[in-house]
Amino acid sequence: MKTIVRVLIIMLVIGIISLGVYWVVERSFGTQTGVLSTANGLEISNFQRGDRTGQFNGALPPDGRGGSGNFPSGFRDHDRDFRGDSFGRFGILKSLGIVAAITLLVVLVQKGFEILKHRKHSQASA
Amino acid sequence: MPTKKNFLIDLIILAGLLIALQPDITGIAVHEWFSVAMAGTLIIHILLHWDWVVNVGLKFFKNLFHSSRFQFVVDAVLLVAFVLVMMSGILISRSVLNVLGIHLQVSPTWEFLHSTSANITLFLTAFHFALHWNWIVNAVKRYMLKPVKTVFTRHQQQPTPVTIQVEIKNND
Repeated sequence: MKTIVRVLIIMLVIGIISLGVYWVVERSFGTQTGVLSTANGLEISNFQRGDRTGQFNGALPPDGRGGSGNFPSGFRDHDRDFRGDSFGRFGILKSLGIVAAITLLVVLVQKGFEILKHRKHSQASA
Repeated sequence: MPTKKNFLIDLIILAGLLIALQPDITGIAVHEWFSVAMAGTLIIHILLHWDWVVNVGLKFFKNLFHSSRFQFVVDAVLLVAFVLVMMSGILISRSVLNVLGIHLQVSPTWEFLHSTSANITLFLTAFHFALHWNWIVNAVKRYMLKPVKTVFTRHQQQPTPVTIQVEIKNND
């Protein structure tokens, strides 16, 4: 019972933060994320119906012109189909490196403060 | 909850986060579902440290310049960053919302916020990790190094010869 109450409190806090973040982002950027249409045709208020009929699947119809080698205008990076990349493991190493570097920096700063504190203490007592 | 289990779960969460931050490895669909699972582990992590959160939270202004207050602030900002990355991830998701039968028009702003908040989350997690460095070092020593050390020392220990002095009394 205690755990359930705690989980509910955490979810409530997360919900409040979500609403707050959504409100701030919508007010600041006016993203109009909305555009919601569900399978059974339900709509939620404050959302507008989208006009997108499908998702980009990586295949564009030929337009008879020579390409520039670039993505077409309006192409969104998130639409790229990630199939998994064995070289992506270096990304994990990079993240680990960032964690290690920040940890080292923070620990060094903490140690530095400790040494300073210790010196001050010993000077005051001398 | 014993520290050993706590430590193990925290290690799994860190590994999970590092994997979730690399959609190139897993592919988008796995990335999305994995991240949804990560939201569950986030709740578990807070539950496991509930007493600390409540203790520091209730006495926050009593001793404002204590190191735990700084940790609390970093943790709170990290929670907001996590919520932002999860929420923006859901708003630009393809697999998760598709399963629910919901189709959202992806906004570039939320895409930008998703990638930015993911980077911020990594930095804040590293900061969170660093601020609990002493606890981590103690746990590593206790639950990873010590058991390995005892295995090696057990093998190295040779049975020491015991000399027993026996006195035979002659009754004659």
